[in-house]
Amino acid sequence: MFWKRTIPIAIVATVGFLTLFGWFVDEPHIKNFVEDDATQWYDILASFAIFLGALNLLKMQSQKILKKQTGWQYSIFAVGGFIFAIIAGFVIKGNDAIQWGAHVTGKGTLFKWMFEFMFTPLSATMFALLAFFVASASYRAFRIRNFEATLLLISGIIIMLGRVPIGIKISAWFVLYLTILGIGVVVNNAFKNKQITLGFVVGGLLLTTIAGFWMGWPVDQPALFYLPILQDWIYNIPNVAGARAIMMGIGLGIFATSMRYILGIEKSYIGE
Amino acid sequence: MNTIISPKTESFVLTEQDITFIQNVAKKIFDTGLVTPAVFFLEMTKPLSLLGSHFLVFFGPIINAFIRAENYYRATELMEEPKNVERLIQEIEKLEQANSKPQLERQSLKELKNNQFWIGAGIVIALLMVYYLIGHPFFLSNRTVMLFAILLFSGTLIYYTRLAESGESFFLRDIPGLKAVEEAVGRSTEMGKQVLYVPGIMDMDQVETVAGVIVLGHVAKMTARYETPLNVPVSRAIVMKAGREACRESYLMEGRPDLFQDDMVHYLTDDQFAYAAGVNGIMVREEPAACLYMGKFYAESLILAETGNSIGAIQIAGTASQSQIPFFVTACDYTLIGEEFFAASAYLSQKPELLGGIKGQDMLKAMIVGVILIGSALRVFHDFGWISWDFVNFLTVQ
Repeated sequence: MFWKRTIPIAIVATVGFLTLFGWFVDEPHIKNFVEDDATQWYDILASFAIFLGALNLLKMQSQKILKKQTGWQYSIFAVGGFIFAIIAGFVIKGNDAIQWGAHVTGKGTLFKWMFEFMFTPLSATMFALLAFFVASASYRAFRIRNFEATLLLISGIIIMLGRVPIGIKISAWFVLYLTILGIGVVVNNAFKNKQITLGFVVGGLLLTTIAGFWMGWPVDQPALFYLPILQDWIYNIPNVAGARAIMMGIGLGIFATSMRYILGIEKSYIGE
Repeated sequence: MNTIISPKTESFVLTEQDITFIQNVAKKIFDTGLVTPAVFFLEMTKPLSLLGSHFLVFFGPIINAFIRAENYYRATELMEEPKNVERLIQEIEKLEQANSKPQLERQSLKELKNNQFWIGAGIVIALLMVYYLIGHPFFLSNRTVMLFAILLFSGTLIYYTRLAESGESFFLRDIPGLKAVEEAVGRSTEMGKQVLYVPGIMDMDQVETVAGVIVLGHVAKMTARYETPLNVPVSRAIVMKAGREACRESYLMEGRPDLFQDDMVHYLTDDQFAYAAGVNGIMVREEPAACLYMGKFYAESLILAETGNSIGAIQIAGTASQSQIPFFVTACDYTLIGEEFFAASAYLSQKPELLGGIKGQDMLKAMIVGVILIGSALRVFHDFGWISWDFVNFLTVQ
């Protein structure tokens, strides 16, 4: 219990308090530890820990091949890629003019070739999948199922149009007309009276037309309905407000969780 | 010649009186409830026992002027030997084992914890006061407001944690995503398929990853209970070890250590998109009935969630990565947003100290809202020239 529970909690508490209160003192050794040494120690630990992961990977994939489990053919690529990377990193340099160590970035080396012509295209392929996944996720998200989804759809359209060149060309009066028609739908649902709805829509359209003629139909007026200005407002005001609220909650959550770890209240990460 | 300053022979034999003395000291330490810090201190100083003993001898006349301790010098002589310090540690541990939780008569566990808390708090306050009195060297005084805020926030959290531990119950709203975790595991059990758990792509130096590993422990308890296969591909070797320990403990606690296998939690790769490709491959081949994403994610979040959606799995995501929350919200059935994710451990374990922490967080939020409202008003007054004090500048972290 002492070595499995008490020591880890003591280490967490000591380093946690040192890091927390180290930010408030200007002592060079403490600052150096907090800003430099502690993260470097972790990086060194993680670098050695990679052996554990690599051995586990090899073991599992090799077992799959030997026992011919489902999908064992893919494991051949995994093991083969691992061996090839080891050879490129530690055995065959490919360019004798470059020192070991610098060969991972040096031109003409096997490792660099592997990185440029195998690893990078494969990573780019996976990243490119995101474009299609964004489209399919947007298609599902923008269906009008409820009020929130409708709001998401409308604000998404406004922001998308407002950020492309065609959005500058769309007149604010066109958007105003569409807005009046949209509010007309809401009025109809609220009052369920055709006369009120007709009166509202016709009155609104008439007033808008008179105002348009009076102002000379400028493209960017009224500013509230001009897409670039509207998307800017949506992006900078309600979006930032919501994001900040979430960030504050996240910040508080991180603070409370970290305090629980430092004070030893939460011990699940070392097993109960 | 005084035996204390005479050279010691190899065979220093403990008399019955010495053994009784050590047992009395052990009992006094046990009664204070400071077993853990005392054992920790004694283990650390055991190699230096000779030096410590001479130190006590040197200051003996001064110490004896304030406290009349009989056999003081005999005690220093005893503690000179590391073997005797080890004997003391063993006596303390024997007392702790003999008076384990179900058998405590003289002091309930609550009183012990209470004593420990007040002693610990007293030590911290004393240290801070000493630091202040010696002139608080190296302290960055332009960060005083932040220090005060941290102390206030910590105090609030500790207060509500202790309130919960004393038996107070708090109302917590239901979080659908957390209620759905057990449903998801149940669904997997009924369909005879596995549960896929992804603890994020970052290492244990991220708070979200640690929170993800803790939630993994709770999910592992459910999979152990329902005998559902669990698959946890990880992106970091240290996370693999931590995840294995969490799962092993959970299966042990559920009384099903036979179902636990080390390879449940297995390493794929450190690289972001290679990891996403690996997890996607697992999803498409194994077709898990439930996919849980709990941790820190970046661009690969949508790739994982969309693939999970395409295989018809129930998906529950939890992350504090603000930019990835919208992707999870659109692609997953349930999403734990921000602090809901950090509250997951408390909700799933229902431990009073953790639930109290959630309540404390809510109080902190209320405080922050109050400060924002008051601060906005004060800033407006400052801008109008009604007051000269700039509240926003006062709160700005230097």
